[in-house]
Amino acid sequence: MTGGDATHFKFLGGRGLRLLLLAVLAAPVAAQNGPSTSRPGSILFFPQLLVDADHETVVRVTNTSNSMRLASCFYVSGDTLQETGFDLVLTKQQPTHWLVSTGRQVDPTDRLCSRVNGECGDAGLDPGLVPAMQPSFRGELVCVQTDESGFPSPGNSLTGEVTVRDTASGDSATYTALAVQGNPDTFISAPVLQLNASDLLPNGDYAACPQTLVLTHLAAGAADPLAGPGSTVQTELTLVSCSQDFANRELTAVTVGFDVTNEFEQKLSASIQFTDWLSASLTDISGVFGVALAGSASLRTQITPLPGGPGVLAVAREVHAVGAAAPVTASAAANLHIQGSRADIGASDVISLPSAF
Amino acid sequence: MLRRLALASLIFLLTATGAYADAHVSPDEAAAIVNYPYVFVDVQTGRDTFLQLSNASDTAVDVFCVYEDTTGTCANAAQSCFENADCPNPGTPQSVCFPGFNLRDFRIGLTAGQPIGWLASAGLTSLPLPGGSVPGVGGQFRGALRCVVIDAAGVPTEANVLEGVATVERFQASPTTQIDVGKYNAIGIQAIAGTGNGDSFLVVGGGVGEYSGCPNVTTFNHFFDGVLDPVVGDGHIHPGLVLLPCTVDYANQVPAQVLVQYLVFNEFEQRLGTSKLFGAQQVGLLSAINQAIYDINVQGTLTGQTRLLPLQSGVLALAFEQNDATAGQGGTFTADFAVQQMGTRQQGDLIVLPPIQ
Repeated sequence: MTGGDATHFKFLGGRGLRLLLLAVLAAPVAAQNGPSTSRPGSILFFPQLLVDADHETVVRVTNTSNSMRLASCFYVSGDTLQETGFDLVLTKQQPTHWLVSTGRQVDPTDRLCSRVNGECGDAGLDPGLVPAMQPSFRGELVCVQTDESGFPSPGNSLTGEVTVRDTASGDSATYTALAVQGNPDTFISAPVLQLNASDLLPNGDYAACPQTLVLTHLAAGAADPLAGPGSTVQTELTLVSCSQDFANRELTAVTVGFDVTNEFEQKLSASIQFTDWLSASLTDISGVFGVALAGSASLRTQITPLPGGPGVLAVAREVHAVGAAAPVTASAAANLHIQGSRADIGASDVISLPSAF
Repeated sequence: MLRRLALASLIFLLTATGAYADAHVSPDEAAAIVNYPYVFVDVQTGRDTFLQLSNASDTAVDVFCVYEDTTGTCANAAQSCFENADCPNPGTPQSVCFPGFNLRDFRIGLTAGQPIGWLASAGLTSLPLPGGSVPGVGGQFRGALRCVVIDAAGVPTEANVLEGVATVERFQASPTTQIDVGKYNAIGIQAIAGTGNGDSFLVVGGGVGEYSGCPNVTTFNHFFDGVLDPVVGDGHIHPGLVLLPCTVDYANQVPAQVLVQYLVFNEFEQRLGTSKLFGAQQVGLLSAINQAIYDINVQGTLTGQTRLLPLQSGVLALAFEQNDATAGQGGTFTADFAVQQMGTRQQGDLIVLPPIQ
């Protein structure tokens, strides 16, 4: 310590210094105010994965830290709500990937990729055995950063991306996984994750889910702004519950309300109930999203979970189609905006991991 | 007395640090400044950008926006260009595209909760509700759009209420119908409550910032350039990146100059590095940054992680990937996605506004 520092602390006196140290030590590392696409996190939500005759999904996960990181991951089928678990081990700064339909095998003799060698999907340090979800799968993936014993570890090291490909046309839509930041100062002694922290309440375990999601979109069936008449835009919305029970598979009933505002500041509303996971076009959710009823092309929809129920996260996929008989299509995925934190209104969510046995 | 003063100062410092952590630079939340890093119009090739802007508050707001046109001029001909290859005699030393930096500003008013949308090429002759108009950028434009919340007197305010979304499209009706869409959320820079001084110098981060600081390190996971498409199999994937400086001087029309350092990790945890200088905006494939380190033949694994560190100014980034599949409708499919940030720059950035009418 320099002389200047010594003098500085002398002004504080013994009690002042203790207070300061207490304040510094007690000050938690602020988490992002809710799940984010712009920060690494300790829980990754990939709300929409799709494998069928016409689609394939590529998942990418990266360890952004300078130490080895582990994660427990769970596929959840949107149709059967059955879970399939597996573990990842990522060395420092390691990116990895897999196709949902094929998973990833452990084989240190994989051939390297090149511009002419496409039989190289598993090249790289194997992150572990990732199961193949065949012949079809639609649902979500959740990955939780853990320590060596399998307990949750809020190290905020993980990022992820998903690309959903149309196998016939080659069209692709990519979104960034929603990363939930943990409080690195918290000690978690059970395989139960409390999503109860916010900027205002930073002493919780993990960032709480948002009070409201905001989808900026075109009215269902509106013409593509560039292609004009003869074209349409449809938005598929995928919602997942923030509360997940991977230990006992107790399913979660979710109710969300939709408040739609059009360009003339006119408002319409709707609601829907589902269990754990929902993927549906806006047209199928409610007529209020339709271009005839909505009243303008650009809409802003606030999606709010019912008080007392679990929070929700979402991604959207917009499909632009041109032509009527055999339409030519292209799609784009979109992350939604978030508003507020459920922690600030006294609400939280829980993710339960299975115990080792 | 001195002891009390020192303690009070430190408590203020801790409190101020907490307030700073509450504001974010993020594509997920409404903000006082929204940045659309990539707006592209080229009517000859059927490209345009549909821009959506919403007011997330319950009260009307005024918004000041600036288009930054970085469309270049050929050194060897009096014609516009986006790349060196657009100029006559491509491949020769004279075939150089000098980037431009031309500004076009406008002011609009948004009512409570109002969303609006417009094609960048055409703009909006009048807003759906009285609130002004948005100029079109014409038939050839590459650049960015930034919007700032202001009050009736034209003074920047602390209201974090703007949400932006951009859809970058390509459409051709003949000889074969082709459509391609990519979608991203504009990157918001949130104001820090109680720090705004109302002048035209918007201080972004740096400890005394009026707005949350730009990221220190940006990271994202991507395919390596030229990899054979692992899904469709008959095309290649080309990843790309858009960078926009956080610092910009609209009053004197001076763009920033930023040196960016890149670290690239493949799935074997092998690391390569490079650096590149850019000005008002950087748009291009990763192979244009450094062909060797992003080439699949060099890296050998399907995916990698890039970490980038800007020096003279912070940067806002957007990632994209192009698939040149030959199946289906043919042509290129593009997907845009958000990148992750780590830390906040210690040095502040500065946005200098012109006089606002």
